Amino acid sequence: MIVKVLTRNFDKPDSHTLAVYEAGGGYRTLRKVLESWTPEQVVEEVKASNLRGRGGAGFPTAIKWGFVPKDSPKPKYICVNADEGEPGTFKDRHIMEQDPHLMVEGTILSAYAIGVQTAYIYIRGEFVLAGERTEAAIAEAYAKGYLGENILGSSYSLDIHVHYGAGSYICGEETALIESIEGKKGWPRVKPPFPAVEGLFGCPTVVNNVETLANVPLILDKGAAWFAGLGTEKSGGTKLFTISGHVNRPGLYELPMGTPLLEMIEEQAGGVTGGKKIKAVIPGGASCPVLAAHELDIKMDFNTLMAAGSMLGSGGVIVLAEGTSMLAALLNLERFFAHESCGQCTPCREGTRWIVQILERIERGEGTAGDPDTLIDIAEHMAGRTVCPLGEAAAGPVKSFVKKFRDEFLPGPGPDAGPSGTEHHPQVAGQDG
Amino acid sequence: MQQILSKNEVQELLGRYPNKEAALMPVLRAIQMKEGHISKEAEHYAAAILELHPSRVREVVAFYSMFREKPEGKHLILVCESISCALLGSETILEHLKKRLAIGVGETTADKCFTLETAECLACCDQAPSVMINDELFGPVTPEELDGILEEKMKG
Ligand SMILES: Cc1cc2nc3c(=O)[nH]c(=O)nc-3n(C[C@H](O)[C@H](O)[C@H](O)COP(=O)(O)O)c2cc1C
Ligand code: FES
Repeated sequence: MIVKVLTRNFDKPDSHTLAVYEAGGGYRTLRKVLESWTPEQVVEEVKASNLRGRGGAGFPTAIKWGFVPKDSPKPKYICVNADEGEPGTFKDRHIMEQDPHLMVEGTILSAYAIGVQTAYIYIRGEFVLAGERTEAAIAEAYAKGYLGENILGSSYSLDIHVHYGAGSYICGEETALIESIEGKKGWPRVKPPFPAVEGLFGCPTVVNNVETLANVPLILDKGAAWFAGLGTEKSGGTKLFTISGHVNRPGLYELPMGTPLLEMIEEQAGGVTGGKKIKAVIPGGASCPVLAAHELDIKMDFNTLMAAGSMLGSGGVIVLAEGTSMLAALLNLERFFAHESCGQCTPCREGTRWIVQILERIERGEGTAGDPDTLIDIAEHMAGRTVCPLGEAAAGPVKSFVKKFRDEFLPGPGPDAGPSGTEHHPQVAGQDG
Repeated sequence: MQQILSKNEVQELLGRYPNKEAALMPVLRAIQMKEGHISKEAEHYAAAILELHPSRVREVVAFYSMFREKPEGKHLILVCESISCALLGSETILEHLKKRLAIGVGETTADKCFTLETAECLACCDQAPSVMINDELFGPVTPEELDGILEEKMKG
């Protein structure tokens, strides 16, 4: 069942403009909050809403805000994570292109709650239209007094700057993102200290995803109970799911947290192309462990997927139809991680390379009976042994693909080598892909 | 040293951050927008205006794939190779472009019209297979449609 909450403006003509946003009630909440709410009340309301981070980890948003020391003499920062680079994910780009003011108002309200005077929106370098519309929205907000000194006549002031990335997936990781804003290469930092205590320019910093912040105006407008009621017991609100791969209607769908995966694929995405069966689904973006066909009767929320050994991640649902080579699919994913490993930690830098080399060897028909176990072994030595979770992100697909589709990683052509390639050169796409 | 950016442009970028160093990425982005790529001289220029050692600039230019160290063709073609596009045939698209333009990945046509590159997920997986040409996204594309788009670009 589609619920239009976050996306309620998306279909309006010129939805990205201030006029349309205001006509739909936009910035009304900001006015209300600045007139009559304390920052603590904002934090309490967001806490009661059960909002959890939409950037991948699902961390409770208000609790993260609560880690920022109240009495620090240093300036505080908020960084909006608009680096959206997880393959299969395209929700934040839609928010920025179709309703950038929702993100901007959410950023202002969150910054007010935390006591921030400067915010940075870190936008992926490839996002041209999303960047233009975000910059235009910020300019409109300044002109209307929603940003800058003494917002709407209150004592609260905030500046928002845009900082563009330049083609690096790792910069979506919060500490790499901070390094990148500081003008450095995107090497994640060792934690602790956590950004909330020592982040951007050595100051307390909160990093939140675009979709997370876009929910804040709605929570403060309609109330925490309303928002919590849209989701599951442990996770409030709706979720933007992006469905891609072998489905008839790939796209962005706003659905209640906890919507069954199969309902999403059948009803929203129109089922599998060519009426084929589903072979596997990657439920939350490229770094989430794959689910096999018998595991698809599952509700899509943080806790249920975690219990099933996968993750909701960023909500990027990738559907693989029968006929897809799992070897080729995993090789594709691992090439991505090997390419995007920043090179700082040996287990990740070398591990991702070895995994790619072994998969390529199997693809050439030179695999050995020991390869599946070697792959799992390498993956196990990467997970948890790196500064940031990219090692873990690369390991999860390896372990799940190899354990669930072991035959395809053994010598000889797999059962679904795929007629598009030669026997030993399966392509990811099936015959009619 | 040649001034690539105006004083105002530099001041505006510096004003966004509490220190000069942090303006490095926007300065490099602005240089690339003007010159198409970031030359060795431009690296030294960025280092000079931000009071950084040139090796700091070098490191950043080398780390980020969108900072281009050599001139490219008039049109930059990025073919998404990530999973959702691969599931829908990005390999066919890339092979077609290589043949059609008679260049490999990372190369530029002799007439300097096109540079061919692969890209990681462009966050438009619902339009797979997707291709970005300069600032514009195309998808889902077929080899035939791409031929038409390239024709247009060659005229323009
Ligand atoms: C390799 C890697 C890439 C990431 N990429 C993104 C990203 O593109 N966007 C995002 O919001 N979070 C990304 N994250 C998660 C961030 O580190 C961080 O948890 C998130 O921005 C926090 O926001 P949230 O609490 O609102 O979810 C990434 C994490 C890792 C390890
Ligand atoms: S996988 Fe190609 S755009 Fe996402």
